[in-house]
Amino acid sequence: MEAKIRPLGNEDADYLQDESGFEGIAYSISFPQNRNEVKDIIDQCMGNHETITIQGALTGITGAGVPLEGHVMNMKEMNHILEITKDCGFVMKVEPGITFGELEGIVRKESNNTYFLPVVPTEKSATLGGAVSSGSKGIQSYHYGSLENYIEAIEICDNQGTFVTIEKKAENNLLIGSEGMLGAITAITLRLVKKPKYLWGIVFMFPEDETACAFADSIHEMEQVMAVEYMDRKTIELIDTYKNSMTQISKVPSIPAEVNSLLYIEIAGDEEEIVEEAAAVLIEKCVETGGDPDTAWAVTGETEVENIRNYRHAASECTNMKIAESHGSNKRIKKLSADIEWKNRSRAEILKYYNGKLENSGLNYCIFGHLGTKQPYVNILANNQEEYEQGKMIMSQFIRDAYIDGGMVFKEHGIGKLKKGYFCELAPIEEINKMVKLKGKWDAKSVFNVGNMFSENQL
Amino acid sequence: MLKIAVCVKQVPKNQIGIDENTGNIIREDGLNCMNIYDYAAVETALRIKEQTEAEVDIFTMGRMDSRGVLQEALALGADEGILISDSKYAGSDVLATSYILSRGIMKKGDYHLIICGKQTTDGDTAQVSGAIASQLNWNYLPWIHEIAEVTEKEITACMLMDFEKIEVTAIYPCVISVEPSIYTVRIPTLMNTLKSRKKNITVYGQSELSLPEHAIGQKGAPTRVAGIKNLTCKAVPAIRDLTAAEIVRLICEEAECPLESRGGYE
Ligand SMILES: Cc1cc2nc3c(=O)[nH]c(=O)nc-3n(C[C@H](O)[C@H](O)[C@H](O)COP(=O)(O)OP(=O)(O)OC[C@H]3O[C@@H](n4cnc5c(N)ncnc54)[C@H](O)[C@@H]3O)c2cc1C
Repeated sequence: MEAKIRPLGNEDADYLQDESGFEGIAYSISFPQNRNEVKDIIDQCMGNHETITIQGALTGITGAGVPLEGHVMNMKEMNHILEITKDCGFVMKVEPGITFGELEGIVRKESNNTYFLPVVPTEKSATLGGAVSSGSKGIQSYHYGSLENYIEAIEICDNQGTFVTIEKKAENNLLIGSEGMLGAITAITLRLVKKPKYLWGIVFMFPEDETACAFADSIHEMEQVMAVEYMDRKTIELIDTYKNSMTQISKVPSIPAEVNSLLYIEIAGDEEEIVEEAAAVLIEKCVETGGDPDTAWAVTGETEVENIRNYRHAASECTNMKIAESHGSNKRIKKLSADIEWKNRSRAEILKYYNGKLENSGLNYCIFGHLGTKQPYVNILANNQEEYEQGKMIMSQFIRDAYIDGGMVFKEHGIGKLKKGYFCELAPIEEINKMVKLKGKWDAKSVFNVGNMFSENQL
Repeated sequence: MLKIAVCVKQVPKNQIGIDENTGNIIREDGLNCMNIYDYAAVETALRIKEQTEAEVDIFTMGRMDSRGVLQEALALGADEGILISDSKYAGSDVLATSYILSRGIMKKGDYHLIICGKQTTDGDTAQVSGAIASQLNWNYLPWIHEIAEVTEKEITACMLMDFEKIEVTAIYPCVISVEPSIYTVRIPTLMNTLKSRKKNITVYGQSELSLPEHAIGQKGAPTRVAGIKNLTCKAVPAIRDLTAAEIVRLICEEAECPLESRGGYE
């Protein structure tokens, strides 16, 4: 059958760039609506010796879904629910183009708001397929771990047009974080979890990082804590510059000027008293570690918590907006960030390390994200080419040091095309070889997502 | 001490749509929240409480699950929450709602000031505050966007009209409705949130209020949805020169809807 492929037109410029500012080129594009169309498109591209770049919503921040040549297969129209089974928990089979926003609405309705997928990127327009392929995490990964914990099976269409279903037990989650390099994911079976009945979101404010970190350390064992997110003063100021134009957060009161370090904590449970007790324990711990719980904000219930989550999400959005501004004036400036999960450094050491290196450099930067799991994101906000080059050198140093520390370096946002250089130069050879071997096994002809992770000549 | 009653409402978080036949709101996702306009009313009361000595009680009429919005207002710093709930109150429109709310407020105590949000996101009429004032025969200041002064006897505030701002003083008792722009709304503190959990919520139903059945619920509601139409916008020149009656007639003509007047506000 003739696949629905059309030449790429001027109106398709959006499909040549993701949120990192990385831009590419392609010659044709398709929007498959079901697995058979995926197979037809792959067959036709194979026949034409054309490479295929698979993309979801292009909210990725490493250029992984951006084409460098050939054909673009955008999965956003494959967003149907294929099956829901409710006899033993809540299991659903869905197509990969479904966004987290859509998924959330459907699960809420189908489960009467009793089940949910706990690990989701804060960007709700991202697709499930994109998140699986990037190895995405969410703020509640602190409690619920990785997305792979909630995946029962993944169906993939390989470069021969053959559908292969990989069950959790069968192959060790090899598709998670594979960045579309092995084939096109055509279906994902999710096992959802019971949603705790009571949810609180609490913002603790601190004059300095040390106290915030001591507090975060002290609550690490608490069962009710679902998320521990961090924001530095620079991030707060960055959000302030865009806040009035962002309807979702424009009403959030200003963070007092004396606050330099902010922790956003979520607690949850099925009994109201237990969650209230957990809140009381947080107050005690805050006092014990030198903080002032009187200044903390707290909201309860899903709707209100969502408003505060929007503020946390604004940190990512504003960083990307700032980078987009610099990219607008100099196309070579792109996102410069690290999402390292450190292993042997304490939370306070991680922040001190980043700040120490960056303050001396004179570069503009901000730090926010998963401090609870020792994975705060650091973003360097270069204003010009010189600063961008300087920033890249510092990033290399971070990555080098992270490998020495035994940390996980590219485990959330992926490697894609933007971080490929760091990966190939700095990752241990075994880690690179593992990926090269996997690629060789699945896609030796290198049809899918050319340019992600490593160069073709490494195959 | 100044006694302030604030009226708030629980509304669907996401208004999914309107049933074309019945005109009822379709609320599919089951998520509810406080009407966004009512935060400004709570904030206004709390600012007054911080400036003068005042007691702030929050009233809501709705299903039993509307407790959540009262709890939220208590967490923001209000003193007491009163839920007015009875299956007999279901189906109330502006007239019946304002009647029930005003009776509930009167039963609870002697208030100097009632503060309402400008409108709700589900009903959208912006008439409940005025209707409460009318039910109680109190002074009424709508569209307040700034409070100039609050004394023991009166309130001076700035009304945001279409073409001008007017500073007015009203002697208590008085109802005001506030614009969302009046203040930046605070976020509850953790301490207040925990304290608010220990506060009781008073519930008034028909057995407490004993309201005449013809004035409540569907029986007390003269509003009937005759139909819903999508209208294209049309600019009307010099609307400020028209009287209210002329504007209503104009709308009815455009909507091809007969002008009918029933109920309490002819
Ligand atoms: C404001 C903002 C906030 C963010 N917050 C988070 C966060 O909290 N946590 C987080 O982890 N990330 C976050 N991200 C990054 C991004 O949203 C995630 O990486 C997301 O999972 C990407 O999904 P996508 O659909 O946009 O994928 P794309 O960017 O389109 O693609 C990403 C990768 O997935 C591959 N892919 C997509 N669909 C398929 C498929 N069907 N089969 C095979 N491969 C496929 C692509 O080839 C590419 O390699 C954020 C981004 C932004 C802009």
